[in-house]
Amino acid sequence: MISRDTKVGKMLKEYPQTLEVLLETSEHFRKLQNPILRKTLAPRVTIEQAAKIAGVNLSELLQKLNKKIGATMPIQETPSPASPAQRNAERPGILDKLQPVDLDVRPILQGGTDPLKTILKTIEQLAPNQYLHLINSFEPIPLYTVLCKRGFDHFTEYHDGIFHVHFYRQVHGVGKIPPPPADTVIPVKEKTLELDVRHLSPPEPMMKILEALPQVDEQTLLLVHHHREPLFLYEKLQLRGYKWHVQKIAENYFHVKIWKA
Amino acid sequence: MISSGLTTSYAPPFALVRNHFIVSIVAYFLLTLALVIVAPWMQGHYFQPHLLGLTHLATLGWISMIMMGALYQLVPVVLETKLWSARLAQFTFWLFLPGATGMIVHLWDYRTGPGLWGFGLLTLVAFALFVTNLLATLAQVEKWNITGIHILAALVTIILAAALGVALAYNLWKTYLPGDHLHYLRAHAHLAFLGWVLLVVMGVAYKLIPMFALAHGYSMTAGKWAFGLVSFATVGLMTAWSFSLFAGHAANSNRLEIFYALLLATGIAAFLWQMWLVYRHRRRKQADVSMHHTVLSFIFLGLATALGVTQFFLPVRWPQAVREGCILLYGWLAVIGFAGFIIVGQMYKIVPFLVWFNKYSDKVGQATVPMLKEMFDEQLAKIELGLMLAGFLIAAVALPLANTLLFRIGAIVLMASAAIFVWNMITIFKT
Repeated sequence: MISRDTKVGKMLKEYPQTLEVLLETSEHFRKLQNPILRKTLAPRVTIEQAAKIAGVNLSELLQKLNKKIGATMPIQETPSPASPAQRNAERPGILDKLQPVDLDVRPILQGGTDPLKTILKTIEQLAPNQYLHLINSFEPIPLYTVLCKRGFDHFTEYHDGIFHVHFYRQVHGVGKIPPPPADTVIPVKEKTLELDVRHLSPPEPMMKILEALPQVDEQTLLLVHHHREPLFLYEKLQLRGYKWHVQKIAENYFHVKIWKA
Repeated sequence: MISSGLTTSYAPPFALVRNHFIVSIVAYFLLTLALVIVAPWMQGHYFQPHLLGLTHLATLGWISMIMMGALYQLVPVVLETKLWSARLAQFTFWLFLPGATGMIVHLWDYRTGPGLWGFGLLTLVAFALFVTNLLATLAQVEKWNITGIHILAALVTIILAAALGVALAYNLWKTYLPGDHLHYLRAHAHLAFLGWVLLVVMGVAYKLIPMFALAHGYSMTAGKWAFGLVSFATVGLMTAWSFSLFAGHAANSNRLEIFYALLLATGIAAFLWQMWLVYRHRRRKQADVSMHHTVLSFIFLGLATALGVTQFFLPVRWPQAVREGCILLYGWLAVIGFAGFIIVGQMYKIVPFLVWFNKYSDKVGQATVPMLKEMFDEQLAKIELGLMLAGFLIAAVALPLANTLLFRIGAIVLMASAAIFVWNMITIFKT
């Protein structure tokens, strides 16, 4: 059964016939016909997020998708996606003090490439007095978590079918560490290198991980099986240009995924 | 639970922690040297000039110094926040060092004038700044855990214990406290040892020992009970002693005292049971030299507790010397047996780890770096452990026997052990 939390990529892989449903539902999904975009966008987006992006009713979409694959679905009330008007909540005052850097990603998407790299590059080059003004035809919901992880909050406006998203640096109290984001996006890599450090006592897990880094190239994801969250490691990873994601699998069992930034 | 990028390291400057550790290591060696010297006085009543100096060399110079250094490092890391002020911590260190040194020197010669009181006051101010710094650090904590709660309780207690100490120092200069000076001294010692040393050791042990022994999957119920019982019983003992102060040594207050002592013993038993659970659930089966020290420390904690409770029931017909020797033995078990062995044992873990992290963690994968166990001679450390145990036990036997020669032999063996320990620590710092 396909649920609201199912990733679009997983669904398309298991039930290729569902692509047809998506294409019928909204022209926003037409981008999924492009194999490159399908590969880069689809694994990150859940059905719920996809419905929100396309502005269609989530429960209707789920009904249609499940009908297509022949699964029965319990009828339930699913909240419809927030209307664009609701998103125009309160504009943060900080935006008035900062200079916008405009980035229209619509031409990039039209050209069939993933705009993520361009967005990240722009974000990294932002001066302290600047913020990113992103323009797109759909709401880039997965991007919120990606940039939140890099210390950016967002404010979204919707005018005439166009989304304007303002990404600005999070403001935190002195001595406070930014709270970890609720979700993050792990890139899909060709190779996965596994490393089990659960039998090692500190600091040997960190040694083994850092020693394995030279083998982690652009095509590789390092999956570390750890017995605790490696708080000491993060700074080292950051300095060496790696990104990471930690997921608690069970009590005293964590998956730490590491890739080249 | 999903978490990710933390751009800031929580740990305080290495130099801050290192300074505390170096002074503490030196104080430990000086303590063993002083024990050799004071051997003739290690009998009879405990209230003697050299013994008072010696005790404060142990509790301030060695034990509190290392505890403060370790807490500056541990609190931010364990509770995921930043030390409120590293500069204040450095400043505190430079107040505490002369304060404690002045106190020890004055007590050693029993110079009980304004000097002792002044240095005591300086030490109290240093403790107050230390506590302020850590309380401000704890105020930023979002995710509390059992270790944090122990530390919070210990911070409140050390201020009370230190303040009581200063009140006692003033009393030695100009007597003003009603009743027996020793009555307050007993409260001061127990408050400091139970509320400060024991609570910090318990809280930190729940975190560090499983971390290095790779233990998990056990229940923490006993540990929580231990905290409740030890804190409650410590407060209880203090109130019982306050009552007996006003009521004289009435039978009722004595019964109250015994009740809280038994409650305290139950709490300590719960702590030891919790540690036994951790030990049984460890994945790292081969015990290293650090673990051996730690296990011995907990055994001595159990023995000290048992002897402490027994004090109430020692037959009055026993010779005075033996009963006084038992009180000295009680202190010996608590200070050297429990605190000493756990400190030496944990330093074999913490010091290599911190030095390694500070010097080599940035080079891992890019250059050859040593392993932790390559940073000191483990064989030498085993000899150190053997000597420490032998010296400790010989001196322990000497105490109730009031045998100066035997105590001195024990102290010399202990000093040899301390010398090896210092050598090992120098090796680690110089790696």
